[in-house]
Amino acid sequence: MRQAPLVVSFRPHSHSKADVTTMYLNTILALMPAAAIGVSHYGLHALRVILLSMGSAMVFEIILQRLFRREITVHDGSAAFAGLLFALLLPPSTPFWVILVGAFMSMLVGKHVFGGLGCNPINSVLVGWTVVFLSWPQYVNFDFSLLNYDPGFSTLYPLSVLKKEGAAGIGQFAIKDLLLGNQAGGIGAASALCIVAGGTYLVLRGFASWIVPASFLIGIALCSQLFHSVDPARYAGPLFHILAGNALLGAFFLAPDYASSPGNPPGRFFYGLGAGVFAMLLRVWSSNIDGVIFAIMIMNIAAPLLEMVLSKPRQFEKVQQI
Amino acid sequence: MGIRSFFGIVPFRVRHGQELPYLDMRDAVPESPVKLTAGFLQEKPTELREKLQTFGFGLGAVPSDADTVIVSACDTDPAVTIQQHVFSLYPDTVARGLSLLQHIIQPKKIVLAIFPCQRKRAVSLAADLAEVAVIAPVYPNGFPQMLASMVKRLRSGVGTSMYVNAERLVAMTNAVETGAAPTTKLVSLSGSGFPQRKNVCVRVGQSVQSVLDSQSVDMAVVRKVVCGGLLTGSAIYQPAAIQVTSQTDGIAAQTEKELVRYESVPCFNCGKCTAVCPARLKVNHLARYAEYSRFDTCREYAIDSCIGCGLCSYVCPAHRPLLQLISFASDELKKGEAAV
Ligand code: SF4
Ligand code: SF4
Repeated sequence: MRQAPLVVSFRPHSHSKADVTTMYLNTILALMPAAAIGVSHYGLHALRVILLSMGSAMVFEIILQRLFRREITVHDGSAAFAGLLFALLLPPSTPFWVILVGAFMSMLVGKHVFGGLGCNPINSVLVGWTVVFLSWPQYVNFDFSLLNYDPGFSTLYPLSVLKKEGAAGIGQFAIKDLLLGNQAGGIGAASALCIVAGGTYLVLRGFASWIVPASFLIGIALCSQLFHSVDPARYAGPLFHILAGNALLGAFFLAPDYASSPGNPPGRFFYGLGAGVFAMLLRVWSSNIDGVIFAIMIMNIAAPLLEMVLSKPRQFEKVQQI
Repeated sequence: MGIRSFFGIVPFRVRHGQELPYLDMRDAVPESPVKLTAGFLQEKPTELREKLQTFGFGLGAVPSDADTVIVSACDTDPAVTIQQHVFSLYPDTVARGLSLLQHIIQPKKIVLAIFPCQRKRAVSLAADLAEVAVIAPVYPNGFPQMLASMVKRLRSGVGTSMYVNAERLVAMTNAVETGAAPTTKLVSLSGSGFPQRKNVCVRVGQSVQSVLDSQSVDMAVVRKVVCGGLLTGSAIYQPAAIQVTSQTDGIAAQTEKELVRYESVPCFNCGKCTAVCPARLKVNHLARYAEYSRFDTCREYAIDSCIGCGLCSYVCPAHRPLLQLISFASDELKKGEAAV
């Protein structure tokens, strides 16, 4: 048999077999428990939002990549992941056209105008969410949108109760309920345990860094503890702030977004810390009920700066080889 | 898949084992070294150095402040086990080599760097000739630069370092004792093209093809032949025309399923390369600047600190040819310097 010519290529001649698709599929897998809790609370309504959002994000990705004459890479799972994450931030009652607009915006403005996967300066999901939030606040407001549901627990949104009544009002939300997912809010943001489990899986498998979630939660804890010790009647403690609203979803899935967060470990630490602190400041002082998303977007913009400072390459000394 | 690589904690461990069980010792043993006592201690250091220089050892310019010599039995590539192998085959020669080094270089300190499985042998052999540094068997800890900085951290006040690996030290000692230049080389065979992984002893100057043939490698299924380690070696096109040199630590014969394909795709900023880089470089940025020929910016990103380990390319999920881009940029920078 005649031998085929040998392949010549640059080193290394071995690879860890990591690839983009595996990473995104695992991230989607890690979000499944949180999504399942949402579906168990709100039934088909939640499922409708999730499927619509994932499907439309994927279709929009194909359309936009055609339009921009790029290679179609919908199979890498990043669009499906973005759609899923977007759905988990929404209430189950969101009308279909709001979902479509949000998914389209996160794909177009969030991702493809900047050049596609990895080139976006701001988390694309959050761009879509912000467009929807600023244009049709009534649909993503958890005070009204959950009134028609009876998931078996209070449909009051813990964070807006906190904002209106101060720390005195939050006695009705037991920590156990917040952990297990018996709280009003986005489809996937309810159960602290499920989100932490998913996030831990990603960190252990090496698909996400532990630094951003850890420093994000440290930021929230420190800042809320500060407020809490100044006036315990007005400000809730760290545990409530971490478990309620989008804080954990932000820590494990929104803030560590690959493209929009710094890549170097010290930069990551300050990025997470800053996002946590900003989230608390927005929760306490702004008219926004949950500041997590805007805080992450602010730190996304600061990410290139953080990437530049605070990391010194190692200098190796010269070694003479005999 | 090992539990460690499953969890991604240590990306790549250098293979090592208690007594290197998968190595075929019979093939590996070269003609038995002549048993001598350390007679060279009577000769003058300068004369010995000149003699070794003619045998091709880099002893021409010994720095006057050479105060540490690192003798390494740590391998420099995950697919290569020859340093460990030599060290376990010829501990006596290594011990005589230590006194030879002490005699001709007169450093303040000799450090014997070994992997944990060799600790017992190293401690008994080093005695008062050298200090033993136990190095974690993780790539690229065996690199001279890495060893130098690790040894430095273990003991303060270590200055200019010199490095010699166990195989070269044994060859050097034999050359001094027998007056013959080294003519053989231990080579690690890897890749699924070989029927079995093992270390073999070959003649320097023998063609790579003849090594492949001697192991009855089926050239019809081999798609790539690599000279050197899997992460550090280079692919060769004509094994019949390439000779085994004193640098050929390994030969790998890869079949279709082992081929790695790098693509010119955009980075999605996952940060794996920055996390894994032993020089703590911002590899993703560096490679991007290299890709768009902004070599001066590469210098700002400390391209000179790269030790060329290739771990960045190894981990990149997008399969970007990171090390290739970086090497390209540093070659261009060197060319620019030479032109000035
Ligand atoms: S080859 Fe890559 S990982 Fe290794 S030192 Fe250079 S930049 Fe860092
Ligand atoms: S590992 Fe690859 S994809 Fe990830 S940041 Fe580095 S270059 Fe980009």
